[in-house]
Amino acid sequence: MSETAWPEAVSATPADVCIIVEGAYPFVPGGVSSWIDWLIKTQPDTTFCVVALLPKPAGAKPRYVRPPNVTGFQVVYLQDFGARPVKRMRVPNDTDALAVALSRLTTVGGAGELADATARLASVRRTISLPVLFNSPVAWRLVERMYAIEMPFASFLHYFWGWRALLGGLFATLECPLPPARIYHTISTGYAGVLAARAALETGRPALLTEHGIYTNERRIELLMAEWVADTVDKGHALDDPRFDLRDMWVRAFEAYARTCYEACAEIITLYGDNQRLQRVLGADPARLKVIANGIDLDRFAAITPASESGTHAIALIGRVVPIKDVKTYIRAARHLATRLPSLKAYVIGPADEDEAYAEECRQLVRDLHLEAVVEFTGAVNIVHYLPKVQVVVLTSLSESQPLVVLEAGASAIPFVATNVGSCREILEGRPDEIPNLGPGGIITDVVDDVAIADAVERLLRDPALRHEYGQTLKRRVSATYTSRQAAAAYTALYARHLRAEPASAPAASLMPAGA
Amino acid sequence: MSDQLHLEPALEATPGPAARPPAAALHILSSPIYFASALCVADGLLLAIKILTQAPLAVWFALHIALIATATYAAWRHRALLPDLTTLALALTSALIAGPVGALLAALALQRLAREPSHPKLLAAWYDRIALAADIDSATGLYNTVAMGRALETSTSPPRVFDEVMTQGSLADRQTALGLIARQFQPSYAPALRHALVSPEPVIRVQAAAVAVKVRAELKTTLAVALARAQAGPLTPAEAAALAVELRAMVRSGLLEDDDRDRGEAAARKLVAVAVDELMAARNLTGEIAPSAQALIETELLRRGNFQVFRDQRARAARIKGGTHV
Repeated sequence: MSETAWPEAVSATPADVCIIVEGAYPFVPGGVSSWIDWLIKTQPDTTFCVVALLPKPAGAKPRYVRPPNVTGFQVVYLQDFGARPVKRMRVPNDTDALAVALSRLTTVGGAGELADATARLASVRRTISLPVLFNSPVAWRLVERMYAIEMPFASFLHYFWGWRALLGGLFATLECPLPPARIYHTISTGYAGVLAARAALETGRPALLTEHGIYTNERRIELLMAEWVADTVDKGHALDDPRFDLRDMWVRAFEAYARTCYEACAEIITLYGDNQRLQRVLGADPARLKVIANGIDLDRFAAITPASESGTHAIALIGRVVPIKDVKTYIRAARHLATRLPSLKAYVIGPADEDEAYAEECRQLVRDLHLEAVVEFTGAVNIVHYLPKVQVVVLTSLSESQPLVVLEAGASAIPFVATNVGSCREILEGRPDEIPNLGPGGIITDVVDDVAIADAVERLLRDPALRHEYGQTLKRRVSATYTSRQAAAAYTALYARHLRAEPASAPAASLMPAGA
Repeated sequence: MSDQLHLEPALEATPGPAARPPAAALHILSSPIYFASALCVADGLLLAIKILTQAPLAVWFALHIALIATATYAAWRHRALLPDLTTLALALTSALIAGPVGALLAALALQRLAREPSHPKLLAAWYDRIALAADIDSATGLYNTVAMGRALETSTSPPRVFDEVMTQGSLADRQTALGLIARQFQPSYAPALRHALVSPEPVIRVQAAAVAVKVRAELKTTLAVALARAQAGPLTPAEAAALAVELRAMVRSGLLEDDDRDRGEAAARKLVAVAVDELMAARNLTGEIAPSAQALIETELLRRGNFQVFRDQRARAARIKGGTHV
């Protein structure tokens, strides 16, 4: 991985696949970005163009080498309100109807609502561009009407700023030019999902969605906990108060965007079955749901042999030192274990520079618990060099989708102790459709339960036979189900199906002004 | 007040039979502006005569008083025919104090007031409101929408216990409850959070874990503040007992590190001991003690075998609660 030039240019020749990604590839390393990089590289005969959605221009630099089959690249800024304010202009007569349509799109959502809102916007846009509209009396009229529809009792000031942030992103998504492509593949719902839905609506080409985590639920959790969202309606501790407050405005908007995306996408892919329940709750058609698990390159780990009995015990947490990995619970578990297994060594393998404050808190916890001789922060290293030293790998994360580290440990025949998040249970214990079931490849514990994690690790450390059995089982399961080759083949087949398909229907009226 | 401001005639006793004044005089009396202007002209004439004839000041002053008195009498005598005595009284007072200049200023002020927009709609709205009319004006409607829309809805069912919500509630309710726990955490919510952490629903487990991490960090800070308060002292026995209850709740939440939990427990024990020592010394507690703090103190008294003080405390608590707590 290194910085390289990604000139913004879109070829007039349609790419096979247009990848639409929000806040990740190619600017943010790790996670979803690495997956996109893998996807593009494993489909060398397919041409891609990439639309990257970012909050605002901030000088972000690409962190990946541009693969040769990427023929186009475009950045869309969601919160870039660049146009100068227009103080006087005639407010079109159908502005109120547009307000109703936008209100439905942001509170209910759906492909029909998107079509209605874009058609009404298109008529307004014959005379003015969206960035100008956004800073004009038309926008003021829209915000007044939508406020009256949605929450006339709440603070208008807060509503105004919330509206501006929310609709700014939506307008940017509806304004940006669509690169020509034969498939539009979004990697999340949210604004990227709306853009994919718009592409399907305007071009008639299929839209696909691959969700790693459930974007809407992640936003919901953030918003329900957020202190920055003002609560202007006193609901006390009532859970069923139907009044619409600012927090609801944000949550419902993301739910509505997800519904819009789900309705527009021909296939909705996720990494593991548990995620599909939430997708169904949010309105996804069960007939369109698919699972394509991520995989790893087994060859990279083929030479690794698990650490043998040598009188010492070594465990590792492999991942970034960030709150979502809950490294503190790992350190607490190490404290319990250190009292039972004096020779314990507990590695934290991963970069600590992403959230330095949290990393320092972790180091302080190590000092507070007098574990300086037990816990070692290695920083970013090649895990292939460390895995042979480790007998059990631990994952204490609060949230994951399908952590590759479980697969990597499995490929090395190292048993795993993981919290019950994402697809960890499926990987360690087998999918419901695994016939015959291979048996457990590790132990699942509750989240934030340092005692249970320590007990599980101790069980494996004290029982070499069990450790060997679980390690081998995990290796068999990973080899059978979670290889990079299998995942790549699944996407090759997916793209082939839709590249062959004719446009579903006549393209809808474009949002682009005539002649653009 | 003015021609545009026709307030209701004063509801006073009708004066005795009085001759109806000439039409011109009535016209002047019925318009405060004309009335003040007439006063200005009349008083100005008196002043001019005084200046031109070099008449003594006392003579002019007597004539000025007579003019004001006459005008006052005329207004009073025909008050039943006049729309508003208040403005006439203001004009008279101005003229009495500042002579023709005062009358002129009063006339100008009344003229200006007459130009202000009329308020019949406001008045009508006010009359509607005090008459509890069904129609409300837009301003009142907006006020009602905002005030009632934001106020706590007391007519709905009472809030549910979070612990129960976590085991029986819908997914949306559980997520909302976890949001509330995150934003308004109290140690008594810890059991609900523990239930959520082991929920069979992955979404709830993930959210609960995020809440637990946030709450742990906040609780650590809250504990540090409480420990600092305990150390800073001096605290009254009631304050010490209340702080001890607060610390105990944090300790029992299960969300503190072991070291913090031990420090919190030790501080709580010390605070209870201080409260009981004070009680033993004074046989009286200043300030009302919360029932939870009362329980802590009573437990400590029983542990020490101070049964008489225990009985005194119970009796005192019973007096405060109206004799029910014995």
